[in-house]
Amino acid sequence: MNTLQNILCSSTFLFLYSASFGVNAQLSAIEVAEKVAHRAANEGRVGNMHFTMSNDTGGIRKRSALMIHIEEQSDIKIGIYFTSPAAIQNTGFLSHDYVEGSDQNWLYLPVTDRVRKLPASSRGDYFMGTDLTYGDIKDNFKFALDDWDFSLGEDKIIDEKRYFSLRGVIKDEQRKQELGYASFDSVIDPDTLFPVQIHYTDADNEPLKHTSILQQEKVGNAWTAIHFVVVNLQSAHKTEIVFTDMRYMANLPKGLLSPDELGYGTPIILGL
Amino acid sequence: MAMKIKKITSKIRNISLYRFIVKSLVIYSCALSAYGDVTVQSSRISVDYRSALNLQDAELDLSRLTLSSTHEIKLSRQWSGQIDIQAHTADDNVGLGGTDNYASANRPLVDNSKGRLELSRAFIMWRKRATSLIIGKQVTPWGVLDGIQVTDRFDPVRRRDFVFTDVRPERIARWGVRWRSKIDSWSVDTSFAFDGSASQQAEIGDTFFFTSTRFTGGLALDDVRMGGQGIEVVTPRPSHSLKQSTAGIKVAHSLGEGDMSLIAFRGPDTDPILSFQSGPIAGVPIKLSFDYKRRTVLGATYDTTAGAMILRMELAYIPDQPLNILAEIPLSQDRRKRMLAGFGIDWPAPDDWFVNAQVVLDYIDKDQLNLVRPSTDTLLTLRAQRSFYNARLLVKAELLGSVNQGDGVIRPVLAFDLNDRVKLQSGIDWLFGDSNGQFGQFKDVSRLWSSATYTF
Repeated sequence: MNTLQNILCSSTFLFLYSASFGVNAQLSAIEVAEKVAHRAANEGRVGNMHFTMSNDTGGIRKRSALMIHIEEQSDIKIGIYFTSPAAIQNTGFLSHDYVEGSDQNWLYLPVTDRVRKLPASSRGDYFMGTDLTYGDIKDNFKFALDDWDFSLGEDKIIDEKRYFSLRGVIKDEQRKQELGYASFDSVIDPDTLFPVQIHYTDADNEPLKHTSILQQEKVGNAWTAIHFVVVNLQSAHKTEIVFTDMRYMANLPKGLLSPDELGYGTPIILGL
Repeated sequence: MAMKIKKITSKIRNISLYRFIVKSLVIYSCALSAYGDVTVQSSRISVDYRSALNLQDAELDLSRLTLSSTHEIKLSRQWSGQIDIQAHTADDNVGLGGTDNYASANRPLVDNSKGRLELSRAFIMWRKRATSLIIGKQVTPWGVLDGIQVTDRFDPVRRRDFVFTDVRPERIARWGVRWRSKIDSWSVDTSFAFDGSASQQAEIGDTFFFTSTRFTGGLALDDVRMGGQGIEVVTPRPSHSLKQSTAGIKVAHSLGEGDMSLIAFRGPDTDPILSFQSGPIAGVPIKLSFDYKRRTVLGATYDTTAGAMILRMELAYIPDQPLNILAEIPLSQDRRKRMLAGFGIDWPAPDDWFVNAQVVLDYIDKDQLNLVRPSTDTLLTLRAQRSFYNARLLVKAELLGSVNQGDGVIRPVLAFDLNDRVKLQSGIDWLFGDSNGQFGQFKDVSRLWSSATYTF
């Protein structure tokens, strides 16, 4: 009887122990990475983006923009239309990322009255003076499976909740130069499969920047970062981004995120 | 007396026409507002002070204060409007530029030697999906190259500062109607400007009044002045008649990895050719007339991505380019075929540098004629820029030049965002080359300039 009790207790303990890990005990690093990469996405979402950028001397710059994000069969289109400050009002940036074919970017500067095609940005180029790269904006806190060799570290416990530690090392030199990163360490929420912290190193493997996702929300089907902070550890520059009025919009007009439309300035989305 | 009466009635007519147009826009906007919520979509006001010191004699060549405001208004679900106003005041050698070649409804609201108040844009727009109709004072920016006009010749531009403006070209809006739409996968853009306004030139005596014989019809103005006679420029006042209107169409479509467009428009040339209004009479200034003759422009553009680069191309054919020629009679005029071809490349260079290079070939079929300029001009522009401190500081250097004439200008610039509202800039415009070249004519006014802009 004692032996049976012991076996039962041990089994229960082991079962509970495994359950408290969630799926961790059964998943490999690549499986976790795949789950993060294949996290549910929205066909369309819009929201107001508020940037606060601060430097090491206390200087602060603020930007606000309307962001429209559309995914059409894995092709991603993003439009960012600045609404403040006045000096860049109505400046619009448009990005089309295609699974097949060349990615394209455009910029509309009201003072030139023209939409200008931009060189396809290296994913490692910084976006408009922020600490976010173009890759950061387009990847939506996912790690492309083709770019990294993944491994799992010891789980992190934050506020009594257990998180995955997913680590990535860049696969080759070309990707390293393109992304601007050699490696990352991330803390992944097992419930939402969303990173809550990401620490990047630069191409020389020196600490580069730290991203903290402070708030996530489910918008439509998909978890989305609503409030996050990126700190450049080398320049001590910080970018804080807060989304307001973020909403799921499945039936955005076709052609809304097109270069022709960009020339009309900030689109009017009802309710925003 | 008859002339005076004619002038007065013309002024009254012009004021009346201008007021009629503005009143119509206002009344129509108010009427529309009854059917929807009128809201100000965006407002922007900026104050810019700009100065320049001549590098030769350290004289203050430029001292200009500009107040600009832009207001975008939503009138209803499909109607919107925009009003831009600009006020300048200056007390310098550069001046504010002439407005004699502006059509009546386009003339400044206030205009004197020290200050000017202009309505720089004023239009209402109807939009439904890909179709839009814009009625009012607006621009038609066609072309794909940066700051160099091959097909981008629909709009008149400001030349009072030569090419030294923050944005090049600096367009002058005209009264007209523009309709854009999408038919199948073709983008169609039609524009009709019932406004004969032409490019603004510097006035005689101002820093950037052209002296190169390629712009003065072969006449060496300094020689004329040294002969003891003054020069006056007289411009026949442009009107809003059909004869002085410009109409055009552009159709665009994707082509391979890029986008192509075909352009055709006809209207008065926005740059003048010269004629004598009155010949040399002892003791009387010579009167030169700036004529803006009609011509047709046929063009094509193509831009595409090529790896990390952007390639841009423009072709223009003007079968009836009006021009001055060298003949027995000074300031003779003729028409000739003119062809322009422009190529440009955007290259993201190493270490976060951005490089833009462009070349334009401008050929006039002179046949047996003697032209006031080379039959073929080759223009080159080269720009390199990089930003620092999270895009607060921009370092830029530009070279514009005529390859065949060996003259040009080098322009290093620093632009710094002090904060979200204040931008500081400083640079050098260093001109070089033959003093009869299109750039070299201004080499004595090479300058160090600076500006401060406050925007809110």
